[in-house]
Amino acid sequence: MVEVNGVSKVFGDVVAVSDVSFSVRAGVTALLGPNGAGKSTLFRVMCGLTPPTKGTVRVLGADARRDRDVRGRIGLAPQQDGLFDRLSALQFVTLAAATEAVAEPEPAARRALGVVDLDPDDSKRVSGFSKGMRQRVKLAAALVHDPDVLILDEPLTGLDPVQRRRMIELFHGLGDEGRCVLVSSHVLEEVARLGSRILVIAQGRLAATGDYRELRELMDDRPHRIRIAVDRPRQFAAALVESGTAVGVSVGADSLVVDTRDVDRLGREVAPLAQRLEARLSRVVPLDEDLESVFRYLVEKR
Amino acid sequence: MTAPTPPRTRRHVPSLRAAALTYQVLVRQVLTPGKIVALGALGALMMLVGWVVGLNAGDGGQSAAELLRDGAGYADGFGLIIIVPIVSLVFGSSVLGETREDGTLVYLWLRPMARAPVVAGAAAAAATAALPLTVIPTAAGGWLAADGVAGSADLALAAAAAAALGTAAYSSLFVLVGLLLKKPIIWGIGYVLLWEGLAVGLGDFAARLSLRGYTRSVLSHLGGIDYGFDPYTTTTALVVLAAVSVAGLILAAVRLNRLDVA
Repeated sequence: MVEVNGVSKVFGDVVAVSDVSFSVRAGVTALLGPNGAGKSTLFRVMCGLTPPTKGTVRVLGADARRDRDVRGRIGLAPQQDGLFDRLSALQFVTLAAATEAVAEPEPAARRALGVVDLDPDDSKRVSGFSKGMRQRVKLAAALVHDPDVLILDEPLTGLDPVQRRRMIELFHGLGDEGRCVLVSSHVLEEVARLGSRILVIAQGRLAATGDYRELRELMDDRPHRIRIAVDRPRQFAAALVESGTAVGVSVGADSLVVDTRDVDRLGREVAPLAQRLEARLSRVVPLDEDLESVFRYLVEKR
Repeated sequence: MTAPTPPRTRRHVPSLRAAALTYQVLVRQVLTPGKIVALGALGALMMLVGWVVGLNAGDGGQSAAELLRDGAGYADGFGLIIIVPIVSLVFGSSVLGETREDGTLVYLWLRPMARAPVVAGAAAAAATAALPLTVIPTAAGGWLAADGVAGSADLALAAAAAAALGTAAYSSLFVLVGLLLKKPIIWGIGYVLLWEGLAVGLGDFAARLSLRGYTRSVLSHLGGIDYGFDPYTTTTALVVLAAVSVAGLILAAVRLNRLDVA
């Protein structure tokens, strides 16, 4: 349904997307990556909102930038918060339906708002809505014309846990109906529940693809970096290298930084080792548990 | 993951419907209280000053023809040179320019609609917002400055027509500017003050490239009075103003089609 071939996008000196290729079929696919990784740019290119600097994108076999028919078969919930603020939710989604050539816009808008748990009869302007409500208005507008391809840029941001679960169920339902649902996120746990297929994008490049379990294994496989605050760092470092637990060590005045491939083993060894060396152990801190470092590892590995 | 693409019938939004939908949403977006108050105050200032000018002129023993000529000069100098382009600039440049800035343009762009009706609807929205704020002060200001003498009703009608035609042409032009440039208000004010304000004085060729000469010709001819500044025939002025309006819309539609949308 969506084919991305060798796509790059450059803004001035900034390479936002670099030589990305993948194809996406019906079902839910998650695009995972840190903020600024190029996810939104890639979505914009896919929707035809901006042309690629290099490469081609085909959505349902056509270029959305040039093909009006295809534009009517895409539902986009963009990341940016902007809505026509003087309209109510019903007016906004009715406008979306009308501009998507839906035959009966208002009934369709009412249905779409119901799907995202918003009251169609709420006459309040969307400017007075919370972040989560605005997010759901965008989702309703993306769904209202029953699109074949749904592109949802960080759609769960601002939603409470119950709403997140409801929306994830909705996305899966749409995928099961044969639609192509592409959802971006920078939260690993969110993505775990989102899709059986995951595309990891970092620094503008496609860093990895696979299902969640494969990616988790890949991530767990990387070396972990741990800071150990101890009063005898040199002896501690020597012992860890000797035991084979550490693959790299750098020693400071009152701490050492250990690279290890087996973080569980290190965890088991640290306290007994301190006891054996009669060292005073004050802190053990993981240095690279944030998602950024995981993405960095995947990019470098690639 | 392997379900086939469901077959779909082609759905387009007809052009008139697309223009109407665009108009409907953008006319509400563009008419903000801040703009109405600020630009309304400018119009009120024009009428107030026109009233003062008329009062003083009436005491000076001038003839009706002279008063009409002064009133026309005031409608031209304040209304057609300042109010019409400035008000049109504010609404014209923001009607699509602001949607581009705040990210709402995507809700009109990524749709099965042609670009030209979207631009036409946007320009109509800008002109609708601008017209009361340009036509009323220009017509009333001219009438007040002529001290309401016989013939000043015709002057007011001619000023209203010139302001309306100028508003349409400028709005179209500034819709294009709003899509072409960032900070279009600054560029637009530069254009209005430096080019439209001074071009007429730079010779015949420069005057032909400004809209001011055409709107003032409409004012002069439709009023049926010799105001002493009517370089073009009514037909020429109407054709040029219409052509600028249409050309602005066509170029804006081309620009919209090529735009990078956030």
